[in-house]
Order: sequence, then C-alpha cells, then structure tokens
Amino acid sequence: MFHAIVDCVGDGLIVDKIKKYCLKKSPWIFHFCTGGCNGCDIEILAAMSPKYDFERFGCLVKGSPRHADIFLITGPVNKKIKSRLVNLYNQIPEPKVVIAMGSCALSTGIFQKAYNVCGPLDKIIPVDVYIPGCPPKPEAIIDGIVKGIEVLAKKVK
Amino acid sequence: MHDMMIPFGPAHPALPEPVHLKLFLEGEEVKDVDFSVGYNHKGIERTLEEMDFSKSIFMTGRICGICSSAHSTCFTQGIEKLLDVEIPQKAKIIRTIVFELERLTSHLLWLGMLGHEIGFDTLFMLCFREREYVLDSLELITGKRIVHDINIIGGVRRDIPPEMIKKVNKNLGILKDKVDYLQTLIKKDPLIKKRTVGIGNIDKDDVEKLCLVGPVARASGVPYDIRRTDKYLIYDDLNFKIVTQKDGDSFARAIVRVQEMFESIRLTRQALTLIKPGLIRNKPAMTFTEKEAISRVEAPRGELIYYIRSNTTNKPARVKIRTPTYANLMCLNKVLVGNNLADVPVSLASLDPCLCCTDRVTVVREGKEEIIKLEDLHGHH
Ligand code: SF4
Repeated sequence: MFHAIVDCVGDGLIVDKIKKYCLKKSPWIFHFCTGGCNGCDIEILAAMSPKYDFERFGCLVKGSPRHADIFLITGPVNKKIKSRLVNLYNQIPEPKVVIAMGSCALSTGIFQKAYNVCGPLDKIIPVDVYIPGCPPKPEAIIDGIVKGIEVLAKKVK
Repeated sequence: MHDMMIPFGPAHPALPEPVHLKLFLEGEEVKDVDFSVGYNHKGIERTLEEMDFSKSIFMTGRICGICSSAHSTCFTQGIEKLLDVEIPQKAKIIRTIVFELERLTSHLLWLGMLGHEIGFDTLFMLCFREREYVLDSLELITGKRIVHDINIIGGVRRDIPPEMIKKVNKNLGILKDKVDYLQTLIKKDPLIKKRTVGIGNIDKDDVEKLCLVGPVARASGVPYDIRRTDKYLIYDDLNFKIVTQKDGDSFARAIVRVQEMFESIRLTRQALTLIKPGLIRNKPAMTFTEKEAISRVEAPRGELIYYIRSNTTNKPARVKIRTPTYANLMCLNKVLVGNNLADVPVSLASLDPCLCCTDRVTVVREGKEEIIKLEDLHGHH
C-alpha cells in the first residue's frame, strides 16, 4: 500500500505520516528478564490476561527485539546477561522506548548487595519510564505502558 | 557429528526467563542437548550470609516469584528449628492456606504456558482469567498478589478474620467449576492430545535413577510427596490424596497438575474450617547457637530443601538451597533427545522449569569441583 501512495504523491511525506500514526497506535513490546525473581514477569503475563488486557492499547508482546518498539525490562541485571541486554537494546529499531519495571530494575532493590549484580538498569542503557513496585500491580504496568506510548509519540514527532 | 546446532535462547519466547539451550539436530530430530544457565544468577546464598535472619526471610521469598511462599516457609521452618520454637496452630493453618493457594496459581500459570506453547492461546487466556480468583484471595489474605511475604519468625504477619474466610470460600467455589471445565477441555481436546501424548517420556526407572521430584515424578508413577512424608505444617490433619499417573509423558504431567489443583482447593477449604481465634505469632528470643537444620517442603514443582547452619551471631553461617527444578533439569536429555524440534518447547514446558530458583549453581566439571576465579565466571559465556 505504501508503494502505491508513494507513486501517487511523489514524495515520502505522507508515508512518513502514516508510519508515525501507525506506530503510535500499535506499539509492540519486547519483554526481557535480566535476572529478577520472576514475580514481575508473571505480572506482565497477568496484565495481558482478560481481566486487565493491555492489548486494548494496541500492544502486542513479541518474541523478537527486531519487531519491537517498547523494551520492557525487569530484574537487577546480572553480570552474565549485561552484554546480551546491550545487544538486544541495539537490535531494536529507532524510535524506541525503554521501560524499567520493578524495584529490581529501578534500583536493584533487595539484591543490592549481591555480588553478581551490576544494575540498576539506567546505568547501562537509557530508560524512559520507571514502574516502581515489587512486583508492580497490573494496573501500574498498564499505566507505565500508556506513559511509554506517550513518550513514543513524542519521539516520533 | 551432528548436522546442525541450533541455539535456543537466552531470550526466547518459550519461557519468560532466560536460559540458553544448544540443540544438536539431525534433520528434524534432536540428537543431543546442552544447556547453560547462569543468566539469573545473583549470588543469593552468599548475600543471605550477610543479612540477619529476620530480614533474610524476605530475600528468600524473592528467590522465585512463583514459589515465593514455598521458599520463605521452608526457610522460616529451618530457623524455627534452630531456635526451637513451636509456632501457634493458627499460624500453621494460615501458612498452609497461602501455600496451597500458591500451588494453585503456579499450576494454573503452568497450564496456561502449556497452552501458549502448543499454539492454543485460548487456553492461556482461560487459565489466566481463572487465576485471578486465586490472586484475589491471596491479595485479600496477604495484601500482595505475587510475592506474599506472609511468614515471619515464630508465626505469620497477618490474621484471617471470619469475613475473609467467606470471601475466599466463595472464590474457591467458583474456581472449582472453572478447573472442572479446564479438565474436560484438556481430556477432550484433540489438539492438546496430539501435541502432548507420547511426547517427552520419562519412565519410572529413570525417575528413580535421576532422583526426579514433584509432579514430574508423580506423572511417572512415583508417589513421592513431602507433604505426606514429612508432615510439616498441618498436613497431617488434612485429608488429601497424592495424584499419580502411569504414562510419564507431557499429557500425564498435565493431568497430574490439573488434578492437584482439585486437591489444593480441597486442602484450602479444609484448612479454612480449622481456623479458630487465637495467637498468630510466638515471638522467640533471637539467640542463636552453633547448630544445623534441614527443612523440606513440597513446593509446586517438587521437593525444596534448605540447609541452614548458624553460629552465635544473628546471621546464618551457611545457607544451601536445593530447588526442585535443579533436580528435574537432570532429565532434560531424556526428555528432549529423540523428539522433533517442534516439540522442544512443549517438552521443556512440561517439566515446568523455574530458572530463577535454579541459578545458584556451583561449577562442577567432570565430577570434580573446580575453583574458578570470579572474573572467569563473569566472562564465561
Ligand atoms: S522487583 Fe520484586 S518482584 Fe520484581 S523481579 Fe525484583 S524482586 Fe522480583
């Protein structure tokens, strides 16, 4: 469809507009656990479930970073996973939004003194939205994702 | 020589946690597996040695979010053995209730993940919808949905008033019908049967040889359950049966877990009727001596063991944790080899591995314990 429009209009402007519009309406999420306790990860699954259903904002959880717009990260970042985290971050196409979820990702939380932890997350990659809680409730996750979509909309402009 | 090696993970769609599998294939058939864990390793056992006992309970609750109260109950039981305190009956009942409700959430989550693995996302959504009834009850009782933190040394943190009992009972009633429906769904649905029957077989001999635990062992006909053998908390007074199956394939493991859900509902209901007004905590004097304690519980995934050694300080001298998944990962070779590549996620999920629990491993190579420098360990990919 895009090609057809380009052919008619002659310049890329409208295509860009359509692309931007689409991105705001359907941000795809890539979720990654950097070594937390799993509590946060199951709450993300719960937020996808029929009771909370964050898919109504057009979000979809995807298995590949290359499809994603929002990078949702939990856990205190352990030393073995740090390089993988940076790799994954680089694989996500621009514009992207990074959401840190749970006290672990925010401040390494209860694992502060553990020897194999090198977080918090914002020391390693830039973070746009923080969701506090251990684990945050699904309502908080949805709120964080909606804020993330706002940030994404600003980045697109 | 194998045809091809396929890396699976660390970030992969099958489980929410990172694990790295190397699958060696010939055509479509898996010939060998190798796995590398450690993406979740934080060094909890070491950190526990630097926390005092009353705080470290909350740390053990965060070893794994799914079996949080299993870990913290096991650890507090160990500490109570060290201190020689007897906890009030009511505290025991409340611990049992939280424990069984947690088993329900864990099994429902597992069933949902199985549905997701075989491409049956409706089952995933159904399970997660029903799971909310349990989570609501847990939130009512403990104040939190996932990491419950109900245990403290000598008892529990919160009481269950009578009106709460009514609400929890009501939720359980609704849940029972829903689980009933899920059971018929699993038994009748041809898609589920095609993907799970005869996949990932483990026979009884292997279970005994490899010391497998939990629903995996019970699905192969080994009735091993710590709730029966150790009679901790109030399980001695309650009436329940140990669910076993004979076939030992992924389908049998699904049936075991579904039927255990009914048992958990029954157990919780029985425990709720036993609640009488009374104390919920005996506050012990926190004086430790040089002593050792071993404590075992039946976590949702199987036998969980804590070994605790104390000295005269209020911090543990050593804590060693043996989690059920660590025991069950031993059969990975048996389960995956000989299967199709497409069946790997299903077989893997049917073991219900929980890597957050597992990643506290010492390096043992060729039977010898190797001392590896910390830097090597970090650079070890
Ligand atoms: S923030 Fe809490 S619940 Fe989330 S991963 Fe960390 S310890 Fe677990």
